[in-house]
Amino acid sequence: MSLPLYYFLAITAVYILMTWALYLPYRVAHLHFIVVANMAISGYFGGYAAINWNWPFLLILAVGLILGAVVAFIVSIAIGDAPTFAVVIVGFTFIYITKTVIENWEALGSTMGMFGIPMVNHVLLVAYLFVLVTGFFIYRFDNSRLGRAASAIFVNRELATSFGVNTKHLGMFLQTWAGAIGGATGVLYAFIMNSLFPDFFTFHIIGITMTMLFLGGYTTMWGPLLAAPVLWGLPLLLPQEVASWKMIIYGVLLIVILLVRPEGAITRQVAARVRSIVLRR
Amino acid sequence: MNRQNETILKVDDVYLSYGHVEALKGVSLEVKRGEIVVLVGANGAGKTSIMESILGVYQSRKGTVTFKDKNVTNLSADKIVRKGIYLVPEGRGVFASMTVIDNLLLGAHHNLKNAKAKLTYVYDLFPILSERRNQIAGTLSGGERQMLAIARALMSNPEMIMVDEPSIGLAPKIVSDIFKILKELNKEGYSILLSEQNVYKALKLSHRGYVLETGKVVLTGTSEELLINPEIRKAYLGA
Ligand SMILES: Nc1ncnc2c1ncn2[C@@H]1O[C@H](COP(=O)(O)OP(=O)(O)O)[C@@H](O)[C@H]1O
Ligand SMILES: [Mg+2]
Repeated sequence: MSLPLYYFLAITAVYILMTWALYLPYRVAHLHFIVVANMAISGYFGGYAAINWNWPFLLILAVGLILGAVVAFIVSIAIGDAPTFAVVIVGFTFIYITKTVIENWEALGSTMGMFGIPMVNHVLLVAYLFVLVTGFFIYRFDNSRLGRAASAIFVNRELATSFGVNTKHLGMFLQTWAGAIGGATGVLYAFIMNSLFPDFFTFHIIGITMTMLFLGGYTTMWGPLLAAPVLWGLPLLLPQEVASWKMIIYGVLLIVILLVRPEGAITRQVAARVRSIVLRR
Repeated sequence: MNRQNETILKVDDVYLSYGHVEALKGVSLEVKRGEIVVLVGANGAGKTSIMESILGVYQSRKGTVTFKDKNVTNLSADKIVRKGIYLVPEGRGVFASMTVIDNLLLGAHHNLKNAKAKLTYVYDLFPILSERRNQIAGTLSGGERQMLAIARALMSNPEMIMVDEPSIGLAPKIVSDIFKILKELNKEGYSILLSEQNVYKALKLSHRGYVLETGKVVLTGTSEELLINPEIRKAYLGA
């Protein structure tokens, strides 16, 4: 496989997963950027464990996933039922703290970055297996009673409470799950790139994944799945001079879609129509 | 076993405030098993606040709420719903972007095992919902939405339903239909706590009533008594 194709596919998987990590808490209207911090923490942990302790890739992946879940779970005890703005602020704060700690931590390469994370076989395969498994469970969730309850919370939290939905527990569950995805994706990213830079885990990735979520459509899991390869792939095809304006292009696209199609490209109606066409075959 | 006259719900000296606004100032009331009890009062009297307090939506309330002889005051709303109370909220609370069937299944959040049987039961009661089951709830008429909200409550397998101002925004004919349905449900054994500003129709339907003014019960009695009470006639019945 050619190197550009390899990176295209690998980073597409990373963006699909990170956008799903945003998608899940957003099911209950939580824009939970802490997943970016989870990605950084588990990614750096994974790089360190591989370089210094020679831990095998799959073990690191598992530990990175658990680490992400544990961090997100502890935070969710405080903000599992918080209003959206509080969740956003906690997320930003967490990213900022994480970045500051990494930048001042010699052993993690500080501002220079971490290099020499070993190459391992089958990273791409593992990444897409993880996409598959994650997608399967999100699909199951979305079509379960909890998914229905989440949709109710999204529209009206108080009303959902009065119908007996435990909004706090559901919020904690989704935040923890998203943290686990963020953590595992951080490890995958570390082994795809073989190096890490603290600057990556900031507004850069927030901007990209948010665009993917809202452009693709936040009401179904299919939006992120489609938007990630398109939005990440398109700038690669553009001439270098245009592609360097990528973030601005993303920003403009985001504003345009919010104005003309607030639920994003793939809405529930679109998904339902596609499903009925596919099932008829 | 005759369980009539047994108190199913008892609200004792409940206070609730939203920040500086004192919405409930020591409300006490009870509902006996098999009764329809109506709360009447103007806008802002505290009818919705009472219902939401009973459900435990606001943990900040003071006083005690007893349901089926158990003190449920400190339980969260999801636990109280499991005990068998369900709210049909003011304005119906139908999720417009979800299908009719998804709205119904939301009612069975804690009762999914029996959802199939319950669906058959509510479709039987409300054939129109069966016809519209795969439609987006936003396409229903006001009366159909009210039926959906009541049907959703029944999906949870409640013993008592609280219906908050069902007549709002509905034509008189539809209001009569809805009240007929409530009467039917009551005959089937559901205890009902109703709030209404349509005082005449509500008193005709119910067994007993409480009159609320600015967060306090100012009058209570059987519906017959209240219907002939001069103050009520003057304030609410335009006589
Ligand atoms: N969420 C809220 N925040 C602040 N005040 C509220 C809120 N809900 C109700 N109130 C106030 O509490 C009082 C009782 O309201 P409510 O229970 O809705 O009355 P009703 O249902 O009888 O119209 C009113 O003064 C109302 O303005
Ligand atoms: Mg009200």
